[in-house]
Amino acid sequence: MIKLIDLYKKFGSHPVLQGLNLEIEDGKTIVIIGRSGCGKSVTLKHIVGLLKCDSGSIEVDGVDITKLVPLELQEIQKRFGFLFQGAALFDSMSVYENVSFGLRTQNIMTHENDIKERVAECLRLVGLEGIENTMPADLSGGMRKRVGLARAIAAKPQYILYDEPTTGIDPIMSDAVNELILDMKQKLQITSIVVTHDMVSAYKIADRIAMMYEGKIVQTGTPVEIKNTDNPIVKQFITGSAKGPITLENRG
Amino acid sequence: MVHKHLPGESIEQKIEESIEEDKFIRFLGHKVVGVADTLGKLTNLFLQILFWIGKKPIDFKNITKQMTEVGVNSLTVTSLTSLSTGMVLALQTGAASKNILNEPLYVGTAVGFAIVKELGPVLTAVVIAGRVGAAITAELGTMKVTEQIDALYTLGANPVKYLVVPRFLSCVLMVPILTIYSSLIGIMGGYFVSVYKLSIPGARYYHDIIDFMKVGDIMHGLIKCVIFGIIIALISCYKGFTTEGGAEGVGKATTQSVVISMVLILVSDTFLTNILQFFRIG
Ligand SMILES: Nc1ncnc2c1ncn2[C@@H]1O[C@H](COP(=O)(O)OP(=O)(O)OP(=O)(O)O)[C@@H](O)[C@H]1O
Ligand SMILES: [Mg+2]
Repeated sequence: MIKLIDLYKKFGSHPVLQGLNLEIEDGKTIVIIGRSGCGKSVTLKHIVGLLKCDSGSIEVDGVDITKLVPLELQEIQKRFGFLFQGAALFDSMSVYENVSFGLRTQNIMTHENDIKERVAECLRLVGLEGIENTMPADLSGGMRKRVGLARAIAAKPQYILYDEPTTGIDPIMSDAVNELILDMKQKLQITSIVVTHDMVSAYKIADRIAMMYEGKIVQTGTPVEIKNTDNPIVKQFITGSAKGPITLENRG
Repeated sequence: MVHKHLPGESIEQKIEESIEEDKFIRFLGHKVVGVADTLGKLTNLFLQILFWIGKKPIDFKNITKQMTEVGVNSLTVTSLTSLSTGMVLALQTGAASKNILNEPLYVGTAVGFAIVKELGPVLTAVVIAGRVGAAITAELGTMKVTEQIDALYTLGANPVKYLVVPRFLSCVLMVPILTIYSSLIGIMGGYFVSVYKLSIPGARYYHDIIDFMKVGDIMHGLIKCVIFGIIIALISCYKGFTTEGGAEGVGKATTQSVVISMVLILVSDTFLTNILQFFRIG
């Protein structure tokens, strides 16, 4: 269970989070939507402790991670898998070394054969069999994203955070990624937090959808509730209209 | 600040002036606080390095890789620098003592001491700061702006242990080793000039060095090297970790890293010489 309580965060004088509250139940998939630059990636980074909030608290399984010292935080971080928006592959390492990295550093597997098997399995899940020896620089954008996905799921973490998993990926592969996220929930009871602009994907994978606007969550609900919302902000966003309460000057 | 000035408004002007003064003091304050803040963060990074340095598992593969990068790949450029420095030193001291004493005296002593205690350590460190320090900052900076450092955290690897410790160790070990090597080359350069240009007998050059040089003098040089190695590793890693703003940011951080390391090496050399002399080391 993850609880974000009254989070505030400013970068310089630019406020990004302004009293954000969100609860994420175990074994569920929550999708966060919102305009570009509204602070979705920043929110995800707060959950794993990569960014420190100015005020508020973040509870992971009942522990407030904003109060932890670095070594304690490092233990909690092992429960998370994180797919970065830009994949963030280690470009001095091959795909194999990238995907197996967490397995080694967290001592999940020690036998090279087990590691090999797990890496191959993860790559197969993202539709990239047999590219173990390729370097990240030689991959296309969508392929990099999927290797990042394979790396995030390799250690079978309890929580997986996906920052735009289907952006830059073709529609067929996107759907495979959606299936993968659904599968992880059903087979392994993994809790997922997904940031996406892809409403088709959001409706398909979400148990709950949360809409972020001006540093807060303005509405959360099941996909059906969100589809039939009365909230003008959410309505404008999901229908993708330039007319409405959200104007182009309103940035996060 | 948008402000309307009405004629004869002296109070307003005074306020404006005092705001200007205030700004200046604030500016100074910012600088002082900024420097103190950076020093604090550097100390923090240093303590973190000390904390992680002995923690198992020791990453031999990475350490070897970094040592090769710092050590082996810098051999050519350090050899060239110190060879020509040794030669030029011999030429100059030879010419100077010829002018004064009509004979090139104690050329070996001058070259040997200058190289072992000063030029060997400083030149090697400056070359390493330019070559290796820049590479470290550029690599870590790129990793920072492409979120690879964040990715390390989420995969359970501490960036200080994983990235900084191997680089720190290789700088601290390799700068002294390279200095020993390049000092020998420099002394050899001086030998060639002395023997073939100044017609000093080889044995004489050799004795001019050996008869006066003590273990303390060599320690003097080596202690400096270790400190310079620490400076290079700390500054370049810190600059890499604090890089912001994409490719342009990486470029800026790299330049700053090299300039700061070089200046710190030269400035700290003065202090170090004083301190070491105070403790009668060399
Ligand atoms: N490290 C940082 N330093 C300064 N400002 C930052 C930093 N990270 C994010 N921001 C700012 O915070 C705001 C939110 O950024 P964020 O990356 O969370 O947006 P986002 O909702 O993920 O957008 P997108 O959908 O385009 O990915 C932006 O205005 C950005 O400029
Ligand atoms: Mg984002």
